[in-house]
Amino acid sequence: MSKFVLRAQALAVTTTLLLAGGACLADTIKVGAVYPLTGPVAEDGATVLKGAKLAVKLFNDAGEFKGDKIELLVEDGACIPAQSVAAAEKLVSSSKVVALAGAFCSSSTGATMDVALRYKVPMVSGVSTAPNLTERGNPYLFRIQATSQMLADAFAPKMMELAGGKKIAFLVVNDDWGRSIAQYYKTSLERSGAQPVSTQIFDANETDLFSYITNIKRAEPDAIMMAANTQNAVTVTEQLRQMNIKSRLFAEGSFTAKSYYDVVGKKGDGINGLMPYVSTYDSPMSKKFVEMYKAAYGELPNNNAAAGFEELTIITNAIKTSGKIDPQSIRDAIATSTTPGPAGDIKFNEKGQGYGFTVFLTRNENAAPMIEGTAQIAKP
Amino acid sequence: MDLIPQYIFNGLVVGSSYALIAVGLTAIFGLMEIANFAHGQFYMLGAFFAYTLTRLLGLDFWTGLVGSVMGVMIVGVVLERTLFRILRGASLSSSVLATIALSIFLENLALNVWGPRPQKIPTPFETGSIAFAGVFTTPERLLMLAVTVVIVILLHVGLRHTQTGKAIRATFQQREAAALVGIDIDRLYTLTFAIGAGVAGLAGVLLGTIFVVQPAMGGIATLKAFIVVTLGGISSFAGGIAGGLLLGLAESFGAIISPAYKDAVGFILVMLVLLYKPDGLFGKRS
Amino acid sequence: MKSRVSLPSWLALSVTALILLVLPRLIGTDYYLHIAIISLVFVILATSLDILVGYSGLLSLCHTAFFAFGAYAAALLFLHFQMSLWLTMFAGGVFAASIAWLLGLLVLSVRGHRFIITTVIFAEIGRLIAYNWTDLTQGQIGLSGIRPPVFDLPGLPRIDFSSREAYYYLALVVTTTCVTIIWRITHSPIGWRMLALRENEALAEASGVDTRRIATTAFVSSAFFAGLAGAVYAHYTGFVSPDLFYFTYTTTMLIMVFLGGKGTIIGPVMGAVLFTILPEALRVTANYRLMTFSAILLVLVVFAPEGLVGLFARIRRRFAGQGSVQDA
Repeated sequence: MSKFVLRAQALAVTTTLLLAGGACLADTIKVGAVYPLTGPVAEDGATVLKGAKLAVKLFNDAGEFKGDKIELLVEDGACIPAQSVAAAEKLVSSSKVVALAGAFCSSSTGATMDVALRYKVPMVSGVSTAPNLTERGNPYLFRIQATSQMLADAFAPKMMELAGGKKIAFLVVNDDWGRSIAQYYKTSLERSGAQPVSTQIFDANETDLFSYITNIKRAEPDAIMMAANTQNAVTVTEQLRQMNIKSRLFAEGSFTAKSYYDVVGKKGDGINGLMPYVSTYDSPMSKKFVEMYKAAYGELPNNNAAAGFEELTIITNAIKTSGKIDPQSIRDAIATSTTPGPAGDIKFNEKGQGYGFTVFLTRNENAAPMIEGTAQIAKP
Repeated sequence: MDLIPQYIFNGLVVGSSYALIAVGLTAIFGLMEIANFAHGQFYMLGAFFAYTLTRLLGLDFWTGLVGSVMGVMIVGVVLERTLFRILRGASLSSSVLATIALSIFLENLALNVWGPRPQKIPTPFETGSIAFAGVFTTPERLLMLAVTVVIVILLHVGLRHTQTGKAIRATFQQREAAALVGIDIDRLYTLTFAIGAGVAGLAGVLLGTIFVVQPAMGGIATLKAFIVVTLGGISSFAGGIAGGLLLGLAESFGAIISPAYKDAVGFILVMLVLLYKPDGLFGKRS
Repeated sequence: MKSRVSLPSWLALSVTALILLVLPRLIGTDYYLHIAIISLVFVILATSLDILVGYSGLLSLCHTAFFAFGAYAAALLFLHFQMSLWLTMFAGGVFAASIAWLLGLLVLSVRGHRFIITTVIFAEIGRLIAYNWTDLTQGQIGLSGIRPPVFDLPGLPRIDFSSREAYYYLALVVTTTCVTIIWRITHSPIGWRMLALRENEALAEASGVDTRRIATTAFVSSAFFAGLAGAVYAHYTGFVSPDLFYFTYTTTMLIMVFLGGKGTIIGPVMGAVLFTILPEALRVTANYRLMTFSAILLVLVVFAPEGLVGLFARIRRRFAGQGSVQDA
């Protein structure tokens, strides 16, 4: 068994992304990340990782922390809870990471946060939106992302104004995120006078959405609220266009991602996005982030890239401010920290829910997201 | 309801894609008695080959289509000559397990070669959307339907009126007897595999212009194709076609009742068919 | 079909038992203990699947559905009625077994490919239910907060199984019991009838074996153990989600059975341990993991269809220089 352990560790070390420049002399601080690198959301997971690596590179290049370098150990959780848990177990108990980032899908984050609690290691999640994650009384989980409920509350009146009518339909992907969007937007929009007429929930693996869209067409909505990640966002957009749907389109998800624009081009124009971040935001922090990201990867960052960047920035920031590298000190530092991110300052309430940052209502124009409105997330 | 024609049309388009994938599965099963769990991967490979030829190498759509169908046929032939030849005498469970392994392998190979990013095959048509009699559709979808009709006619004529077709039908019915009367079984297997893989690959190219192309598309296609062949009768060409269209329509109308359980409609149909007509709607007692 | 156990086998068994008992002391980190516990759960799953595919010759592709049904039953009973693992284990098993019995009424009348395909479809139906009946199952996010049990009887020491080490021993006891029972079933007259069903159904029927009844027995008992394993798994990981219905789990279980050696019990046990460790070890190759995994599987299925047990037997035969030993 010990031989196996040794070999596995040797392999892990060789294949690990050593981001530090000359990591031989200074100490390394191990930070773990569980992202989906395979499976249906692998594309988005890879983008989160790009953002995360950038934050690590910033920390290491600055060398402010006694010259210590952060080593980011990445494991594939595939957005499957059991696999994400195994990945987190490995990172924490075997690799001894001092903090965790991840795990993208809410279901995986929900399962992985128990590992964080068990070993008392802080975990920062920048993507998972399921509202109940921060209601479970787990002091080691910090969630940056505004929940769908928060986004809906922030923009409901503006959405109703843009819709130009009362009838709203929903076209969402069949997972916890999609379903919670249907649920919370419905409540918020109803409060602003909307009348939900149809809710269509499609499977992430499905390619033909014509029957759902036909159902929506039958309900004759004034606006449609959609939720889809990259692979589905493309399908949704194209098929809505093909079915000649003229309703106003609102969306959460990957409707402003580069991979999305690459495929649909201008067909996505006119869609309103409800986004935690867009690269056209012109705050100084955002501009700096976009510049660095473009220099590193030759493309514009999307909300997922920003989420990965924020996850790791919060961890590195906590290491800097506390001056310690034990998990408990890092957790305590995160709980009271204010971290400047691309979308504004991020603070956490006592439940670990992030607030203080800006969220965006965008409109796609010439295959790029234009900001139509912003809102600041208040302390929940 | 004035949208009924739309639902029917939606069902027919999806159904014809199911039929094209199922035809090859039926052929391979009927001839070689191997349930190929990797059959959907031919469909996936067809789509990715076409993506490579058109998007990446800049060839026009029709050249890409012919090239990728031939590419998938070559893959099919190579697999038939190697893996499937070894599996010919193997037990049912070994062959099932081997093709499952093959499907996982091919899917992850595609993931590593082309990446997880959903892609599209550039369409040869200028117009985006066509409307007739209140039904909205696209030229790509019409092409899909047309190709299915052509393939069905070609297969029918080929099976009825060519020497090889007659040999295939004979082997379907009585394998040992066919070998006795001097039919070259090896050649027949290779040919069937090439055609089955090619037709699935063709479906992949055509659907790649309508939907997105991604590595996971093969596994779902396999599942649907198995439902189709169970519905229609496991070794019946007509059953494969009819089963495909039936499943497409059932799913389309199922979506009116309950979008989330749309897929369950097909599953329940299969269960019912098994209960009352275990050999499928068009199957003959084996 | 003698069940005589030779001296070297006794030795091997005792050494294995000893290693299993001191394992938590041998392996340092919780991560490896985690893998050990998951291995134990898969040992139950693989050996129970062996009843069907190995002994009865029924290739079922929905074993993971019974695992999932058991896990969901346990989770719901714990969350709504605070039932501990001591009860949910049996409830999960019985629930899975009942569903298997109902399904058996429908699918056990068909054989061969139709049976295989129907079982695939059944697992998909299970996934759809778990996904879409959100009021009960919470949909894709799944159910969480399922706790490990506490052993608390008057006069006996109180044991809290929420520690990894304690749960390891719990799983070890449950798994050993299950494997022993499965071994007894397959080596009893019922087991012989299963073999008769596998080898030649018509002949078995002609010689007075009620094949339908034997197939049902195999299907239901195999599902019972899978459901029980589901409960052990749910109380260990603390959550269940629809991905338990995924085809990949079924594939994994089949790999364990086939590569260990189907119809041998010891084979699936080895297969389960090996193929829980292997994917974790191959984790490092990230994107190439599944590719490597399936390539290994393909090569083994084609070139060593009798699995590891067959391979060992072949090697032993070569060294012993005798060709008379035949594996079942």
